[in-house]
Formats: sequence, C-alpha cells, structure tokens
Amino acid sequence: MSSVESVQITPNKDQSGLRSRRIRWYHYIFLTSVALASFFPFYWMFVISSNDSAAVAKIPPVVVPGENFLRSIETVNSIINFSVPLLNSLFVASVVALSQVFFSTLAGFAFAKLRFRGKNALFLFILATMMIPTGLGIIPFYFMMSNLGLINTLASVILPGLTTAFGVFWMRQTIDGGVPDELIEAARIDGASNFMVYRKVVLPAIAPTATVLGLFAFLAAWNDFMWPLLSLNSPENFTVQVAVRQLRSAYFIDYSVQMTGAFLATVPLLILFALVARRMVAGVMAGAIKG
Amino acid sequence: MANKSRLKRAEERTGYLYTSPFFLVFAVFGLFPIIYTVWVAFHQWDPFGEPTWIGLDNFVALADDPRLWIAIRNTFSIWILSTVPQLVLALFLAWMLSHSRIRGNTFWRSLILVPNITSVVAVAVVFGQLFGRDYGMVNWLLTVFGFSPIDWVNGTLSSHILISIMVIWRWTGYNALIYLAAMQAVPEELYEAAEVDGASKFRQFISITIPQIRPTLIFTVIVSTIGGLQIFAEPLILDGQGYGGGVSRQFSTVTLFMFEQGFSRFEYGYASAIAIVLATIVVAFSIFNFLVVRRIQKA
Amino acid sequence: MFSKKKWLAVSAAAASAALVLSGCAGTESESSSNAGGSSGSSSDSNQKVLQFWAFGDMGLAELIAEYEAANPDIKIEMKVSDFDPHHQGLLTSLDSTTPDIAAIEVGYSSLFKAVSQKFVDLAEYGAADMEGDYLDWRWAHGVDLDGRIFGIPTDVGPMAVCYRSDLFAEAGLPTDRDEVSALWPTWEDFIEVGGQYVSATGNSFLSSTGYVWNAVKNQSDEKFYSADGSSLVYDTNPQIKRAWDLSVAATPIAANIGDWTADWNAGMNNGAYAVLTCPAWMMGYIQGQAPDLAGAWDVAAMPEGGGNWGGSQLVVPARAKYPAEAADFIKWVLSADKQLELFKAKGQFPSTVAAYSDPELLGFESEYFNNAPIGSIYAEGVNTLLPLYEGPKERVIDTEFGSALGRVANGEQTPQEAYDSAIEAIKRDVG
Repeated sequence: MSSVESVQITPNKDQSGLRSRRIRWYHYIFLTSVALASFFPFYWMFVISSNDSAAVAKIPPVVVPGENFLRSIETVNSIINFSVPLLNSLFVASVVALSQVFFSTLAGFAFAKLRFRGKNALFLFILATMMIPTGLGIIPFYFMMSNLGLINTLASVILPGLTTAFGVFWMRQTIDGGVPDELIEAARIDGASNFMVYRKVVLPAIAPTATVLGLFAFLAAWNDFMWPLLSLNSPENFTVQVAVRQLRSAYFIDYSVQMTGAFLATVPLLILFALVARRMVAGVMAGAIKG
Repeated sequence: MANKSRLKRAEERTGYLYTSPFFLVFAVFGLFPIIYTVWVAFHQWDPFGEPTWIGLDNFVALADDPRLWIAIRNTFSIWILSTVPQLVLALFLAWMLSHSRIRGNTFWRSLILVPNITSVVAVAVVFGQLFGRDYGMVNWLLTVFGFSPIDWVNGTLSSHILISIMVIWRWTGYNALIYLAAMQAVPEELYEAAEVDGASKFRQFISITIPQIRPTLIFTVIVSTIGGLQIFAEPLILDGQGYGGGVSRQFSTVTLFMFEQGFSRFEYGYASAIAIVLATIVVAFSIFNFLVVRRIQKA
Repeated sequence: MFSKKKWLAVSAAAASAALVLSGCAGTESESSSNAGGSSGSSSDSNQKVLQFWAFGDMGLAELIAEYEAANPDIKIEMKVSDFDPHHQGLLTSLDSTTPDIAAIEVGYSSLFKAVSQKFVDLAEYGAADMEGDYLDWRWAHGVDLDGRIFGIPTDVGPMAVCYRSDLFAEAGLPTDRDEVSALWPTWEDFIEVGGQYVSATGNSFLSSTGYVWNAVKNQSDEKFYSADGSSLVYDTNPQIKRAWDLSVAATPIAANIGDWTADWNAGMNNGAYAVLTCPAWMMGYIQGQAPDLAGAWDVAAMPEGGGNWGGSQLVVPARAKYPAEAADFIKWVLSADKQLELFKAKGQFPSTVAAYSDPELLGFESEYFNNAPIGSIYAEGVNTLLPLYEGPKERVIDTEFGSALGRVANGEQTPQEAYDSAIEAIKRDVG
C-alpha cells in the first residue's frame, strides 16, 4: 500500500509550523475562565459530598471541601454496592461506543463516498428520524421490549444504542469534508476493495473525530438514565445511573449522599477523558509522522 | 464495460450493506414507537380506558390551546438565546484549542467537557444558588453594582436567559470538541500559504477554517436546532413542582408541554399530537437553518 | 493509524475484561449479600425473586432482610426511581412486565385507584381483616369505589407547625408550645398572628401560601370530587373556596419562596420565615439543613386539626409473577408490629392505630426541637382527618390551583383573576 501512503496528505505536519501560532496571555485568561466555569459545579459536588447536607444552605456558600468525604463514601457503600453498577456501565458504554464508531463510520463512508441508488433519500430518512420527538415513545417501547423478553437485561440498554442517526450523520459530514476523493481513487487504482479503502484510507483520516464520536457515545450511554431506570430491576443489572437513584430518600433530598453518589458515578468519566484526550492529540501526531 | 458495471453493482451492494445496520436497529427499536405515537395522536386515550378514534380533534384543540402557543414562543426564544451564542462560543474555543502549543492542551479539552457530565442534581443546586432571588450570588453582584435584584425564575425573559445560560454551559464544550476535531483535519499548507500572503489570524479563520469545516458546521447547526427546539431538562429543573414551566408557564417549552400532557395529565392522545406538531416545527426550522448555513462558501 | 487500532484493541480488551469481571463480581456480590449463596434471579429454581419498585429508600432494608431470613425461598429486590418516573413507569408496566410489589405515594393513589382492576384485590389474601388496624382515612387511600382493596397503607406524614421560638420571642409572641398552639385554633387566627409577626419584625411569617392551601383543602370530608366519586365539586365545595380564600389572605405574610429551592433552604437558617408546616419526615430535613439552630425550632399544633403530607400504599399488580408471596410480604411488613418497629428504628410515623397508644411513641421527643413530644403531638393531629375521596384528576386540579396561588403571590394576577383562570383551566382539562 505504499502508494497510498505516499499520496496521503498529512495535516499538522510539524510543530514549528502555523499550528504553533503565538498564544497570548489573554487567550489563557479566556481559557481559564471557561475552565473555571466548566469545572465549578463539579467541584461543588465534591464540596457537598465532603461536608454535610447543611453545607448546601449556608450563606455565604461553602467553597472548601470538608473532611467527611470518606465517611460519605462509606454511607453510600452501605446503601448500595457501587462496584457492580460501575462495571455494568463500563461494559454497556464500551460496547455501545465501539459499535457506534464502527457502524457510523461505515455508514458515513457509504453515504459520503459510495454511489448507490436512493442514497440521498435514505440519508434524508435517517435525518428525519432524528427530528421526531421520542419522549413519549417510552410507553410503547416498554411494551415492545417486554414482548421481546428483554426487560431487566443489559441487552435492553445496549441494543437500541448500537447505531444512531447522530453518529451516521456526523461521520458522513466528516468523511465528506475530510477525505479527499483523490485518495480514494488512488487506493482503488491500487486494487483496494471498499472495505480496504474504509480501513486504510478513511479511518486513519478521520481518527480524531471518530475518537470523539466514541467518547460522546460512551458518555451518552453512561449518563442515560430514563430507560435503564425503567428496564433494569435487579441490582446485579443496575448501571451506575440506576445505582445512584437507589440513594434517594422518599420525601426530601439528602444532598450529601446524593452528591457523593453522583460524584462516584462521574469520576470514571474524568479518567476516561484523560485517557482519550491524549489519544486525540496523538492521533494528530501519528498522521504527521507517516508523511 | 461489463467490468465497470460489475464494479458499479458491487459498489451499490456495498453501499446498501454498510448502511443497513442503522436501518436494522431502527426497524427493530425505533420504528414501532414512532408509528405508535402517530397512531395515538388521532385518538383520545388515557390510562382509564381504551383508545377512541377522534380523527383530527386533538390537532384542532391544539390550534386553539393558548398553552401551545406560549410554549412555542418560549421554545424559540430559548432556542435563539442558547443555540446561537453556544455555537459561536464553541467555534471560538475550538479555534483557540487548535493551537497545539497551548500548554496543557489535553487538560483544557477534558475540562470543557465536564459540564456535559455533571449530574442534574448538582446543576440544579449550583444554578439554584447562583440565581436565587433572595440569596443568589448573581443578584448579590447586581446589588453591589447598584442594580436591583431579579426574580430570575418568575420572569419570562429572565427565566429564558437563565435556562439559556444553563444550556450554553452544558453544551458549549461538547460542540467545541466537535469543531476541534474537524479543525485538526484542515491542511496546514493552506494556513502557511495565507500567512505568506500576509493574511491576519482572523482572516485565516474566516476564509480558511470556516469553509474547510463547513460540513461539520452544517452538522452542528442541524443537530443543535433539533436539540435546542426540544429543550426540557433545564426548564424541568427550574420548575421544581412539575412540568408546568413556571406558575405562568413562562418557560414552558413544547417538549415540556408534551411531557406534561403525557406524563402528568395522562392524555396520551393529546400529547402525541403535540409530538407531531413539534416534529413538524423541527423539520421546518431545520430546513430553514440548513439553507442559511449552506450559503457559507464551499471550501 | 496505530493509535486508532490500539485504541480499538485496548477498548475491546477492556470491554471483554469488564464482561468477565462483571460476571464474577455479580456472582460475588450476590453471594455476599445473600446468606444462602445462590445467584438470585438467574439460576436457582426454588428461590422466588420478588421485584419491588419504590420512589425512595423507605427504610425497609432491615425489615426486608428479616423477612428473607424467615422465608429463605423468597428474595426481594428493590429498585428506587425518581418520584414521577417511578409512578409513570409503574403505570406503563401494568399491561406487560410488572413488578411484584410497588409503592404508590398518596398523591398518586387517586390515579391508580381509577385503574384498580390492574391490581390484585388484597382481600383475596385476607387483607380485609386488617382494616381496623389503620386510620380510616389512610385505609381509604387503598380502597376503590367497589370496595376492592388494592393497597395497604405504609406510614403517614402527620402535620404540625414547626416554628422559630426565638423569632417569636423577638416579635413579642409567646414561645411555649402549648401557648402557641392556643394562639391559633382557627386559620383566621393563624393568619392574624402572622400579621402581628410581620408588623413586629418586618420579616415574613410563612415561606409560601401553598402551606395554607395544602392543609386546609384536606380538612374536610370532601375535596375536589363528591364523596361518592360521581361528580366534580372543586368549584362548588365551600371547603375548597375557604382554602383558596385563606391562602390568598396569607399572601402578605408569606415570603413567596418555592419549596426545596436554595432560598428556602437558606431561609431555614436565616429567619426568612418563622414557621413551616412540617410533617414527621420534614424534621430530619430541617435538622440537616439548620444544625446550628437546635432548640430554636419548636413544634406546635396545626389550626383546625391535622393534615397529611406523604405516605404511600404498597400494592401488588395483577400481572405480578408471585402475587401470593407479594401479598404475604406486604401484610407482614405493614402490620401494626412492624410499623411500630420501623418508627422506632427510622422515625416513619405509623398509620396503624395501635401505635398511638404505645408509650414509647407517645414519649418520643426530639432534642433538636426543644424536646418537643412530637410523638404525642402527631398522634393527636393524625386522628382528626376524615376519609376523603380523591379522584383520577386530583393532581391536575391541585396543580392549577397551586399555580394560580403562585401568580397571586407574584402579583401577576388579582386573586379573582387567578381563581377564574384556574377554574377555566381545570374545566378545559378535566370538566
């Protein structure tokens, strides 16, 4: 496949080029403000978790973490076992993310670069499905899943999310804009099959965006609560969002417990961010090296 | 000749094959609820009886229902206040983060996504405290600068602004990452050439970056239109008592109204009719926005 | 290319590892929480797993464990959901896959009463004998118009008035709880005292007028529907009109702060209001939010008797997998003994009458609330309510009135305008 490689346009060729435009101090101020605003409520979750419920009501507000964090975690753990839901969510979200990336890039490639009859109509149909409000659909959906025997199974929360219109639409746009036709032509001339073109030309070119899609799909699956809450009944099947709800008391909110649960449910995502963010930048660099 | 048409047919088959997974999943899990909702819209149905066919009555009643029109007004107001600033901010943020020499680049990228994963309870508490009428921090700041405090939740425009701030807060980072990923694919040579020609950074942004990420821009505009017209989580947070959207429905959105009728009033037929009306609005407005964005010069 | 592949490979490995681990962890946690060691709903054929849906942690974990120990072939799995989704989900599930046991909060019981045929008639399992054990107005929540017993009551949320004795002192009002209770035998007196307080201190007396509304509307034998459920009387019932008028009259003494908002929480601490109508479970909340005010809050009786806020019924859907076992558990856990046990452990106020002569309950005092004998205060108040029919559109009607009161408090409408618009809205939605 050497000719493919040699034709490949490499974005972001080198660090000393224009990518390293001069960063001014006010850029950092803007970024810092954005970062503070983004992070503050999450930090607040931690503050409440590590204090007691009364911290929510204090004026002026409490901004410093207290010493109760470990005790709060103990309280949470005495109500529910968090490790099983965490693993369930990890499993569900990973499968959904991988599946969405694969199917969305595949379909996006087809819509962007392949020719087949009715392509535009099919694509518009997919767009149209995004525009129909689905909130009420949970009622027939439950009925249908019950008939399929999927209630109270992890499959019920995985299967509907295997591929989404959002992902297909996004990948089509990305491939449309980010993969030059010449590249594909060149690969075809070399005798590459469609799948080879997909694997060797398209995927590498859109790696950063596909990574972000995977990340977003993972997040959506991890944070999804409405359907899992309805479908998953047995504690061994709970995902993390369902588990957090088990901390509810009947009439009022115990803020400290709720926030601790929410915090525990969210920290794995931060870890994921750290891992993936590096990948995104690395993906960029890898493209550069090959040229 | 024969070879070419065989290739063409192979390509066609591949096209159908590669796109079929979506249709398969949709056919199994997505189609039935949609058909069902449409069907119910032409019936009167609550949990206490069987569905009764009433034709277009739900839609006629909706046309006369002031609550729908208030909801539509609120929805558009909130859409404009939240979606436009959000996308502009996201573009700007992505542009900044695409300078790979920024220190701690991966750190910033992770941080801007944190709002998207912050739990609803935390959001409700924090924003409730910031914008409380008597003890909120924002009102305190206002009084410090000599303004009078605002009853954020009970006012119409003020509640829209509050909701928009919450929505912008939650989704800007998300969209910024989408733009950032797209910007990474813009060939460096284009910028180099422009630099040589003496173009300013801003000029480069307008003339190179924007056209180059045009497909992604179209994507985000359409998706934000679809999402922005269906906002209901933030209004629900604001009205602690239920789906009414405030005591005078000042921030009731169409989706919230739909949920109110479906899950609080248990009028499934009426709620389904609202869903169809909403779908129509979303389609129309999406087409409109697409036509607007499409006018960006092709790359 | 490498990073993408690597990422895929890493994630695939992580996913498979997670799958394996979750399988192991699942079994492990199963066997550690279940003394019998079997894996719950999956394999063991002689064990029956009952699914129990609730909208909050009802404090039943220990009692469930006790029952499971006494009945080794039964395992009860509880799932807590958010309040509204729980009830909506239950309603949705009734025609397909339902839980075996569910909790229905009092506010929603009227809705489910209208579809009571989708629940097991617990009289088939001997529940009729239990009727005498409970407060009759609480028992009525679980009985439909045909006499089917579709639910058995859990706790009650008896109401009293929590007041800031220190702020009362500043306003020149008595602070001893019996004297305070004597200040307001009627609601009119209550509002007048509120007026005095506001003039003396300049601060609000109540947090919102909704409290008056919520109490008064229930203090009769008819509310929005006629007693036999055959017609709507929300616009003709004098009690409802009185509740409305009193609530409107309370507008000048109320702070117009919504419940559960940040301002409301702050107000518990900083005197934005001096009284709260508080059911039993609210006490724990106040204590949690205002720990520094121990002893400053006290408890007095409510005007004109009592009120109720909260409580639920446990029901068995007709399509439950194990209706007999579910009914057995419900009868056991809601019996007079167990309710008393639960009170002593967790503070949930029983709906079983026998508990009200229990010396421990009567002697129950709250240190935070200035050692108020809340056990006996609540026991007194709880007996004054009458059985009252609530119909399917109960919540709809209530919400419209509540929003109307809110608009009056905001000054957006005059009381008459608000009342008329509420009636109009209800007529359109309900009839």
